[in-house]
Amino acid sequence: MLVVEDLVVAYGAVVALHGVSLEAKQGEIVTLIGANGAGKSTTLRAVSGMVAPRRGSVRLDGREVGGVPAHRLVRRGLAHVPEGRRIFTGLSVRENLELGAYTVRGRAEVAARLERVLALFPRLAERIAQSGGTLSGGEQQMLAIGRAMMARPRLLLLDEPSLGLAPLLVREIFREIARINREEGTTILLVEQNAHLALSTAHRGYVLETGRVALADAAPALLESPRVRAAYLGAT
Amino acid sequence: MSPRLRLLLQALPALALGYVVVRMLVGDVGGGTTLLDYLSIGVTQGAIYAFVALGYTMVYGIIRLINFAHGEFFMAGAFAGYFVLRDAGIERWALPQPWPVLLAYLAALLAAALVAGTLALVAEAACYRPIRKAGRVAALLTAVGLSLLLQNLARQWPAIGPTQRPWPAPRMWAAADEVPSPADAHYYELKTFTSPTGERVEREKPVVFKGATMTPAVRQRLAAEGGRNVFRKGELSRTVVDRSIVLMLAAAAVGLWFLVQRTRTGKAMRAVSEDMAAARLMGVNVDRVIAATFFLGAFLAGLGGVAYCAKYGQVDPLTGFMPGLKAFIAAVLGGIGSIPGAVVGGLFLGVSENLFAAEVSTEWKDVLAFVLLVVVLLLKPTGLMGRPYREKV
Repeated sequence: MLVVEDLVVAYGAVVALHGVSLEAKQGEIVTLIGANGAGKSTTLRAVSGMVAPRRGSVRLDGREVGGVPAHRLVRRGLAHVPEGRRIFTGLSVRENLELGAYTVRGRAEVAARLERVLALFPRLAERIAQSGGTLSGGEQQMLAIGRAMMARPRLLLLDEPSLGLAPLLVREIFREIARINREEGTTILLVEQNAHLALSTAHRGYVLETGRVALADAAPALLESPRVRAAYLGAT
Repeated sequence: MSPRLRLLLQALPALALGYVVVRMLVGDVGGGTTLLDYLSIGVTQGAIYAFVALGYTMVYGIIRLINFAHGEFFMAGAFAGYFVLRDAGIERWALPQPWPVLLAYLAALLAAALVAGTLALVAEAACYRPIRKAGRVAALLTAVGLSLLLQNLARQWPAIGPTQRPWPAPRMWAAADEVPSPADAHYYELKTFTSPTGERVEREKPVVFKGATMTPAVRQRLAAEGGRNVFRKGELSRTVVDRSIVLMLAAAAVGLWFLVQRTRTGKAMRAVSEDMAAARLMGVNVDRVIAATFFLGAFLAGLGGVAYCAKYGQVDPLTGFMPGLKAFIAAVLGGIGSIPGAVVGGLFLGVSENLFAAEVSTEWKDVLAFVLLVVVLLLKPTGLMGRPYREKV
């Protein structure tokens, strides 16, 4: 579904990715783990069109999308939940969700999707008329994911969904992520600091180090890998 | 501040405004020197400021740019309206009924709004979009430069030129039996002259009929001409203009509210205004939404341009300068970025200026506006309706 080859991204003179290659197959959860500044978020941003790659290719369903602006990729079945959630705090929960379906024409279709997303996240239904800024951190993360799901993406990019959340909520969010993958069949590319949680949820994983793929394997194998355990799982 | 006191502070001006508007709609106010007259003048002027302030505030809300060329969109709209009215020959119309004037004005308003809007689209695509990532100071300087450029282009443009032109006002042709009443000196006669170069020119000549001049012979001549030669000038009266401006603002405010709050485009505008990158991730074409915002703001400025010139009776390339600055002040007063704030700020500025002019000094009323700007920026930079400033995380 998604094939990234030799991706190079630079912000001005600072090169963030030095030729990253990775792949996500239909129905998979693939996670990118790594330290701060390893290039995880940049990879997502390049895939979703937020930054244009300097070199390399990003193919979605076999078609080159490197450099295609972000707003056009939404129509091709890609949704990106950015780092820090970035919900619209001044807009109501309903308006946030409706914006998620911005590319969808037809009120009935939007209403049907809204119902489905609210079934996925019942807490959002209780807050439907509140403004996004009044939600708790966990609810905001649910809103961000729900908003992305309104586009019915086939590929969902999630950037640090656990950021700033209490452990209990983090587990709830990850249960939902697994459920979305299972029930909606959505392919998920997940960036996460919490390597243990990410690898327990994902099918496969990539370890990024300073803009390069250092390791790639099935998630259970990475969980057992001494290198990963030492560097990212806090094991001795 | 207790909620009750706050409610009172909000309700009182609203009630006062409602009262003034109702009096304007039912009767002839604005010509005298009572408080109500000054208030109504202030409301009309404030409504014009509000039209222009809306564009400032919308553009600021979406890309944090004070578009100082906005006053020139206003001027371009005013000239478009001027050409429509002039070429329709509104000054020479014989008008048994007001409908043709209404139609001509509707056409002028539409032309003004579309020309101003199109100019804004071109300006956005050619000047602002390329430097959008270059920072706010660069954009601000571009705006000032564009403003000067458009003013001077208008002065050099053969069809416009630097001179001030009188705004085409319709003449209401008088029927023979009603003309002329001796008490009324505001009658004109159309005379044809031959100029030194041999051209035949039509000129207006004031005819003052007073008692003796109104001889049976004159009356007979008028009757023979069917009243076609004598008219009352500028009979699109003050009350009609003022009422139209206030009603037009009300309609524009309601329409804009609906657009921003209830439509898909409006939702996209609010999303872009809050977080451009996140809006892009929703599939919003940010460039197009910004262009639409410029167009809409300038559309309203064009309407304001025609309203302003119809009210003050003239148009020139610098027409947009002062109203543009005042509207900027109004937008800041109301809270820049806030759409209701632009309306409130405009009305507030218009009324304060005119009360100040009436009670203190006419010469100093522009000073008052700028002093208000400084005071608001010092004491409450978010304005009357602005949200408290929040640092983005």
